[in-house]
Amino acid sequence: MMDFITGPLFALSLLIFVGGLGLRVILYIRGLDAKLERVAYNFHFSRSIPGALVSIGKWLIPGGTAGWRKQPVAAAAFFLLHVGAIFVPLFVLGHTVLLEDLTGISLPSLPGELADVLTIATLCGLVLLVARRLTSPALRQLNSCQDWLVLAVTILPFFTGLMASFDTASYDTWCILHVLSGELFLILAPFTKLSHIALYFMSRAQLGMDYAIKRGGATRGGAFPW
Amino acid sequence: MRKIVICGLVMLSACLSVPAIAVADEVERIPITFPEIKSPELPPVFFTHEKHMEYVERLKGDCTSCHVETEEGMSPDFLHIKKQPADKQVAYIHAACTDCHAKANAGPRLVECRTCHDRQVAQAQAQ
Ligand code: HEC
Ligand code: HEC
Ligand code: HEC
Repeated sequence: MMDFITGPLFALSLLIFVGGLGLRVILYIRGLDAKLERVAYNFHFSRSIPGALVSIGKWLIPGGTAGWRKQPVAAAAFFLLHVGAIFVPLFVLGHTVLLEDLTGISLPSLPGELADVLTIATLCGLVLLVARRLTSPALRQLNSCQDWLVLAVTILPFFTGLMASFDTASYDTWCILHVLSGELFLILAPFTKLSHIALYFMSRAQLGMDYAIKRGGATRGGAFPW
Repeated sequence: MRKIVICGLVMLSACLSVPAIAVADEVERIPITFPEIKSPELPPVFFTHEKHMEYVERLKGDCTSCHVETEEGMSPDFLHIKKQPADKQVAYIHAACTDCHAKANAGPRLVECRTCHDRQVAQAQAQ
């Protein structure tokens, strides 16, 4: 059981994740239409590249954009979720030890307590986003099955990983559930809104280029107030 | 119906008693003395040396599955661990322990960290 889910099934999930997201990025770029969108993507690189980078960067800073400042609660939930969601899977000890065994690459690892705190923050962020989906009138109009699926698929690996790290009497079960739920996340990512893991960078870059090339953003050094 | 209920209760109590048995295990264990860990991040491993001798016998191996013969006799070190650079020793012992488990299709694999780094075992040993 363990050998299968950490061997062939893991390789397959990773392939689907990396290959699938790579394909989504290629399709995104091929779907751009300079005429339709009236953006000369292939010209003015000296303006458009800084514009793209600024747009990607500003949304990664808490309160960095008007969009974040307008919705402080959603923004707080978002950052609670994403800080742990990015750093814990990459740097938690259980993963760095396995990575070193598989590839020989040795990454620094998070202290156990910090990993626990970040994971709990991630889970709190996710619960807040669930609450927001349930209460916000605008979101209640928009909610689809996929939104709930994406939230559930994200909660599972963090919850089962935290439970496994507590080393309870059912450690083996939590371990297996953690591996399976992590793989479910990897497999579903390219086919759901989780594809924003890669497409965030594409759509922010596109908009950043748009503003920098034709809406005068460049005259403000790549930054724009709206 | 009564039989089913009794059966269920027996099974339930069996399930509940499993952790209790696991806690009170009286297996002989030795500490791993090398590499020396200055600030451990996980509970230290206490190795079931006696039992592993049975395990390797079953696999048609012997002491040399884990100890190297030298001119002065058998080394008490685990395989070639002392020849590894300091920052690779933990990775070496991880790979060496779990390679055998994978080949034997028995024993914990590397993902199951806390089967080896067992908090309850380490606490019992510390007493
Ligand atoms: C499955 C692997 C394994 C096998 C098989 C094995 N050992 Fe060991 N042995 C170890 C490990 C691991 C240590 C601990 C090394 C350390 O302290 O870092 C150890 C330690 C020792 C020590 C020093 C500690 C002590 O308890 O005195 C002796 C002596 C020893 N082994 C003898 C033997 C003999 C004799 C055999 C064959 C009958 C044998 N071992 C088979 C893994 C093994
Ligand atoms: C030469 C083969 C071999 C090597 C090397 C080996 N093991 Fe094992 N180990 C086994 C086998 C076989 C089992 C399964 C026994 C069973 O389930 O009947 C096992 C079981 C275990 C178990 C679970 C059962 C128990 O006795 O606690 C632990 C924990 C374990 N090994 C730790 C280690 C560690 C730590 C090392 C390295 C220092 C190591 N093993 C090296 C063969 C090996
Ligand atoms: C087969 C048994 C086994 C498994 C499974 C195992 N380890 Fe270890 N690990 C050891 C042994 C043996 C040592 C060296 C001696 C010690 O720490 O007591 C060690 C040492 C370590 C160390 C250095 C000592 C410390 O506490 O800082 C870390 C970190 C570590 N392991 C992390 C992990 C992680 C994370 C996993 C799961 C991905 C894991 N190990 C799985 C046997 C195991």
